[in-house]
Amino acid sequence: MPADPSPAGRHAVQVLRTYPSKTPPFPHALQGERSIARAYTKAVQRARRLIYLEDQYLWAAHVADLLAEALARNPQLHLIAVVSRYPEQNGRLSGPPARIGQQQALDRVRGAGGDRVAVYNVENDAGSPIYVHAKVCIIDDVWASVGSDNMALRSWTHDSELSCAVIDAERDERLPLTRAVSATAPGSSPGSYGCGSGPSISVTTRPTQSWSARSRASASGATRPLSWSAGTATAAAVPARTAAR
Amino acid sequence: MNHNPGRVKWWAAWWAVPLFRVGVDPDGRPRALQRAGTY
Repeated sequence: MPADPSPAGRHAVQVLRTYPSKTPPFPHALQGERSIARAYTKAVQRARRLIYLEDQYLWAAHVADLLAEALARNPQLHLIAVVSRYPEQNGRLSGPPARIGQQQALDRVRGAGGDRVAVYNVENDAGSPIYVHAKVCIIDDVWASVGSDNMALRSWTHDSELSCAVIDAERDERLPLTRAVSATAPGSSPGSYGCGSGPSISVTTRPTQSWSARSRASASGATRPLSWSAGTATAAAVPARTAAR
Repeated sequence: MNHNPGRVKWWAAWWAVPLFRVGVDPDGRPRALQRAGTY
């Protein structure tokens, strides 16, 4: 067995997995493994200000209930989700189950969070939808998860999945940015946002409230300032760190 | 743009809901955990 690598960086990284409980069982997971589901459960329950999701599905009732309970419990919590406009399988037989699953999940989340919930899909300049295959979650700019798992009961309990969760306990001193999808502003710099080699949508970035102003506004440093504010005129505002992807 | 997957017709919902639960988004937990509602 190779030796452990030397410590590097200041972030805590946890590898998470899903294996199903099946017969015959996996020799390394006799009862299956659901550490991805447990990590999401713990992280969402501790969310204070913002849950940002990019996900292929976002359709399980269990996932929706978890998000809805967090939104109902914390009136300061917001949810932004970016999903695909259409399901991967959208035929006469395959489309309705996927659509009704997601509709039920979104109904629960929107019912609990109201206008604190924003769910978007993305398209290119020609208006063609961009299929979102990402599986990313960022909570309060502190906890992030990237992996193969979707926000679905299948990914959390049934399939074989691998994900990494990162906890960043260090304050980010960079100026918060707002990314305005398909918006233009004087002095702004365009960027791109897309999947693979396909067409990209244009985005612009512009500074919002300064870090120092946000720091003063936050309660004595008890909470980390966020790069998202409700009521902005932008089509979609996401945490600044997502720009690094 | 704002996402709304669109409502499924009522006559499709009666078969789409169980198909979603069984085939599209199955539960792979042991029975005991399913009953307890935990992971």
